Amino acid sequence: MTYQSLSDQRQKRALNIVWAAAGQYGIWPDFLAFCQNGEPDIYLNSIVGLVYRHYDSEMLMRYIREQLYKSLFAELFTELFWLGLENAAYEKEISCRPALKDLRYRHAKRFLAEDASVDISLQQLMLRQELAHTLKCNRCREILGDPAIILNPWDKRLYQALAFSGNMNTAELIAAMENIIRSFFRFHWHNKPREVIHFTSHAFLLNLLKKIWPFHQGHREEQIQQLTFIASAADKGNSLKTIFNRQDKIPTDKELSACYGRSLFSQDRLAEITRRYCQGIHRQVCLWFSAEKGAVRKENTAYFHQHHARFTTELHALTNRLQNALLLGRQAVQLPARNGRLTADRVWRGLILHDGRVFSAIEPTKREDISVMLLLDGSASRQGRQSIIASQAYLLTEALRQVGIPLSVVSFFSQDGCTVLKRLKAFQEKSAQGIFAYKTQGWNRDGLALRALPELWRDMYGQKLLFILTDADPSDERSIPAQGIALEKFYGGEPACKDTKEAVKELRQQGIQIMALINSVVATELVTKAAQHIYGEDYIILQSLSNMAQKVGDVLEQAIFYVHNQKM
Amino acid sequence: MVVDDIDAFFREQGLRAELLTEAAAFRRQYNGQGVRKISKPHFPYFGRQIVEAALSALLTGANLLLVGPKAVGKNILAENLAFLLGRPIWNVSFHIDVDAAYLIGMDTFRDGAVCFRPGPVYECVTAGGICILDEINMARNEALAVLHSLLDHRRQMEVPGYDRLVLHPAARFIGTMNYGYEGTRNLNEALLSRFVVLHLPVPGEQELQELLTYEFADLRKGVASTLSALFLDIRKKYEAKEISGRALDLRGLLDAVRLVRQGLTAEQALDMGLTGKCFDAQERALVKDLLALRIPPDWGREDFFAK
Repeated sequence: MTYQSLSDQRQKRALNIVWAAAGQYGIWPDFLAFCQNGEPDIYLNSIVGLVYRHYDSEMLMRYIREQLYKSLFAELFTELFWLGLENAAYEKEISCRPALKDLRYRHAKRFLAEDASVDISLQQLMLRQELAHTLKCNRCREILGDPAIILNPWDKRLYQALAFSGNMNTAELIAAMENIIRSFFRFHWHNKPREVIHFTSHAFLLNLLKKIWPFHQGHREEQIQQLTFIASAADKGNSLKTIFNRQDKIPTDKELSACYGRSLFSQDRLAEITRRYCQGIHRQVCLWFSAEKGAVRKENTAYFHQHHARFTTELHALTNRLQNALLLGRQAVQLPARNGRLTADRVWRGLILHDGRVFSAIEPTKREDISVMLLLDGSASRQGRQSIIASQAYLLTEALRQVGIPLSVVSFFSQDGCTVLKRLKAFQEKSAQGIFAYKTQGWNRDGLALRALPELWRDMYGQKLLFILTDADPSDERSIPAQGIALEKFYGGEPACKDTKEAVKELRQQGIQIMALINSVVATELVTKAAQHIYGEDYIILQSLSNMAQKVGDVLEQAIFYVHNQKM
Repeated sequence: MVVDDIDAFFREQGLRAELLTEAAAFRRQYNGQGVRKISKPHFPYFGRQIVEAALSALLTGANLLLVGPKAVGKNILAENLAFLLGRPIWNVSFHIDVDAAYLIGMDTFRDGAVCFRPGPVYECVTAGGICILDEINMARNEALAVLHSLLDHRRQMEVPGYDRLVLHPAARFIGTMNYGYEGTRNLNEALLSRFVVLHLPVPGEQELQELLTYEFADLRKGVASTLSALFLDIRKKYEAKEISGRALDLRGLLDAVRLVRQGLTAEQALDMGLTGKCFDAQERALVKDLLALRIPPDWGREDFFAK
């Protein structure tokens, strides 16, 4: 197991503890706690979850983010507030969760043991917020029934004030914390021993102050795990802009090869393909096919690892469904025969009718009679969803690989007058890792990409199923050239939809069954209209991309039955 | 448990008296149940409204389809209903290879001659039993088409080469299905129209506690409540797709309680009853965390059971 996957697993586990304690899934807490050995701290994470369960978490987090974080003592106040919240949540829950007492005890024991450990690094010591740490140690000693270590009366009073009661509600908790800040941290003559001051300010000024102010500073990033992994979408290919800066210029093969990877086809074959498809409204653009996937995008793999547990469950379910459909649809056909397995219910025919065909022969079936292509719109309109699309495509590929259905994944986009079809996984390829190289850029000239697609599907036989993930809004920066008296037009809107519709029709005529998976930010009614226009009835609106693989599974299941029924 | 016990149990639960009276009349009307004995349910079904609806359906002669996710008590309800009506049960487990011959019967050689060997459905409907078609949506729809004429108003079917199979007036069909479960498929409309459908609710904390204290009368109230909460935690995690359904096992939970009674610690017993069913290390860790959040690992017999 790699370090990365182990860390992801631990993070996922910590998150699951929070979710279980909160009684709600899908929340993304700002805090996750881990022990020194890297394992999730079950007690502290359960406290985070219990805070979500019992209090108005939105109000609490808003208070932390908008009030405490803006303070010069953000780290200290946040830690103190959580110390108070821990007590409150514990008191509130203990009556119905007996295990909590034991978990708290174990946590306290381990915390003090780690504190006393000689292995603690100088760096860790420097990063520690001392006041909060002293109070935490005292809380742990109290839990274990050991004598207190706080001697300073100011510290003692602060410690007592932080014992928030389980009867307090959210507003009371916030008020109690505000009261603590007012009483202990604003400048007063009587709290001179600590000589502290509290004020809030703009983040820039705070950072400046933190640099020049000679006071002990905790390091929150060491303790807080930010969980938002969805990376910003890929760049829009700015480097290409510098190469192809003239709008009407068609890039040369050399330029294309440098940008998108070597061509999948020979020069002659590519020229022939270009001649065949780049005509009519596409006569001023070109095509490029590449099997060079490029580097795996880190944000894609990070997203996949973050949701690994869920994907594993989904993969298992999807694989089983497809296997089941194949079993049903492809059960070997038993035919009456003169030899083979004796069929009891035909024996009478042998005795009475003298029919020798009392055996059955099993007709073997192949799975290669169906192949699936997943065509991913790789234009910049997919920005922000790149990782989720890559993960879902990977999930689907794995499921199909396990049941033995050949699948190929291709992404397409158009840029600087070239429509690029990038093969992320070939039919024969065993590894699906290339799918994580999926990245978004440029435009989408759907009509041309769809027409050219069969070039990547030549060596497969039997039923061909094409799933295209699209927003049903084809558009390209390269216009539709002037034709006769018709003026030059933008490739988009009605003309582009019409072109794509014709491309879909041509594919159907070639025997390819098409299903469009529509996901768009545009209002559903508008998308539905465009989708109906282009794909007829063969489309599904995906409100969320997170169930793309399941939806494809549904359609695939039906398609398997359909293929089976056609054979019968 | 005898019929009077279950009568009393449901009366206590507030089941409509007239329904119980009608069930008693049904039992009197169809007194002889043939060779097969009436099986006593191990657990009563907790859920008055569901029992009322289901019993009403069977008393009117309808066939019942019980739909619900894992561990909602579909089979327990079916057994309770059969017991209330005083009829024996034929349990037919459906799977992908179920076909007409498996259900109705097939030809076989006996004493040098081909003869008919009746299948479970044939035996059940002639004896007037309750035929539980378990996980009915695991079979192919074509295989079930043979039942259509038995399930609708005709209440009979032709067995090719043999006689006409006529349904005993007391015979009823109860189908169970778990929609969306691995290996399942949609029932076709023709079959579905021959059932009345009852969606079983997921048992809440109250129902689970009642079940636990029914099975273990000396289980401490607090423990029953904690175990119920634990089971609901597992269900929630399963529904959030964080884990598979392996640990969502009510039988496993009951087994674990029995193991604690036998002297094992809570951790050992729950590991055997629940956690051990997950073979993926990460999934097992997630379930273990759930257990740790609810039950102290060293709890034993004394903590679970009142003296």
